[in-house]
Amino acid sequence: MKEEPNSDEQLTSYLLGELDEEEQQRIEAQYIGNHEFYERLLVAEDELIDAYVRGELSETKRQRFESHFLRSPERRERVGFANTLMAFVANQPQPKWAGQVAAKSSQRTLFNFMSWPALFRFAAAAIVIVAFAWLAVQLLRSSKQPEQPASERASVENRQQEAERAGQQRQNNLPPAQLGRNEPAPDTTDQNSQGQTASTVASFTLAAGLVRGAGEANKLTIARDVQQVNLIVSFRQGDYASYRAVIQTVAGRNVVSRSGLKAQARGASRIVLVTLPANALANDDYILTLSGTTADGTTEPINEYPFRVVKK
Amino acid sequence: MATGKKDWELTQEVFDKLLAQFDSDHDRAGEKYEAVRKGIMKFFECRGCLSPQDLADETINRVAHKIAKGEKIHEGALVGYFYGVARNVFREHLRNPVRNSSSLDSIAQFQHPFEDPIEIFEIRSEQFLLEQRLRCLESCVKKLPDEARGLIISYYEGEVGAKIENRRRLAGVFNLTPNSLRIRVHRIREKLEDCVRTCVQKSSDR
Repeated sequence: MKEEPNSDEQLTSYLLGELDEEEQQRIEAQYIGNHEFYERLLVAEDELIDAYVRGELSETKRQRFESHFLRSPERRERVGFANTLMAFVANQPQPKWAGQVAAKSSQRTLFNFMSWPALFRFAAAAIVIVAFAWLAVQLLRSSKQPEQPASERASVENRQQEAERAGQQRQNNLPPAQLGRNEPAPDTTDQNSQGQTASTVASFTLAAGLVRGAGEANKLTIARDVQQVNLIVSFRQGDYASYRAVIQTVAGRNVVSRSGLKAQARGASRIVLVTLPANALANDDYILTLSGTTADGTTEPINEYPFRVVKK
Repeated sequence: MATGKKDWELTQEVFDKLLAQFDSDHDRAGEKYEAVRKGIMKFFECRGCLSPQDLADETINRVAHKIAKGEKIHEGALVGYFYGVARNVFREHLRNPVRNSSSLDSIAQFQHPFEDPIEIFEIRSEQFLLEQRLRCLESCVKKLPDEARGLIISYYEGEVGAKIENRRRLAGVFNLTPNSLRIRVHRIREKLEDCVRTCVQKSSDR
């Protein structure tokens, strides 16, 4: 079927430099001096950037995006902003927006909610808020962390509420697609930092290139009050449908495993986020083994990341 | 580096003449001029140029120069004229190896032809910048009107299927078509982006 002239797909192809000269000129002649069309192009650009940040682009498009679209520093800055925006949104408390939308909806629908008796209004609003919150939790459970036990998630949710109340929330640059709404904003540390973990969550970066030192394992210094550990596992080779991370002690005891992990592009590298309760790790030496699972279910090893945990 | 044409200066008088070509009303002329300038910049950006603003300025200078020299351009043909000149500037840009070259610093890290030995340092810098941006974004979002704040947060909710359903529902709630919703969110986002850029700049200057 012939594509609609100037469809979103065409604008995306234009932005990625995939169109021939004639098609490019046709689009350019429309948006130069035409604010309405120009704005459409900007919307397409926002959406393309978001898709990149969320890791939703195909491999070909991702490469095209990086080699063509990201040539200008301004566009790279926009990608940085998109990353920030997604991280910010991902850390907004769920019930807040659900309530806002519910309230907004009540004003605009023909249902004339405001004419209800006050008691009914409060009850209905409460039901709507609870329903949205429940729906969001269900969606997260089904799509984000397939192997994470419900108790652990509930605990994480509680911790986020506590952290918000205490005003301790900090955010880092984890790719938004990997940041669950119900996860607390992680504290940012890396494997070379020590004694930095003051809040309930500690994040560490495990980079494959850094773990091959002569006998010196990556040291993760975890404060006693840290409840959750985020491991940002960076790797360069391999693009798989999903990823599996297994953490074992050097003695071979299984500590935790996570499957169905999704990778995010981070420059030439890709990263996956592995979340685990801090009490799963003791003062010990560990190895995180990362493997990729192809679309047909075949698992292939990617990297091993030895690290040492020191609890203080 | 500069061509003879680029050395030509845009005076206020010449610029006023250029504006007058857009519209007899000064304010409307300014709006139309701005639309063309943004479009020309986007053209150079989309063609992969590293300095779209310089090339857009060069285009505007050339058109203004022609007008100052008495070239008559019909109002309806003005935008097309700009586009034609922009394409000439682009062709020249492609032919000029100095202008078209880029240092390693000006291209994205992941386009470097070899592995970056200070990758971890850069990850940390990136983390710092992101934290700074986040602090700025939090403060910028607070400045938004309640409705805009709620809209932008709700709009970016969810992933893939959930996201689509969420946006469909939002369009209904705000009584907007899906396209109008996208544009409205884009405008809020654009404001936030400007606010964050200014805030980060101020933080860096301190």
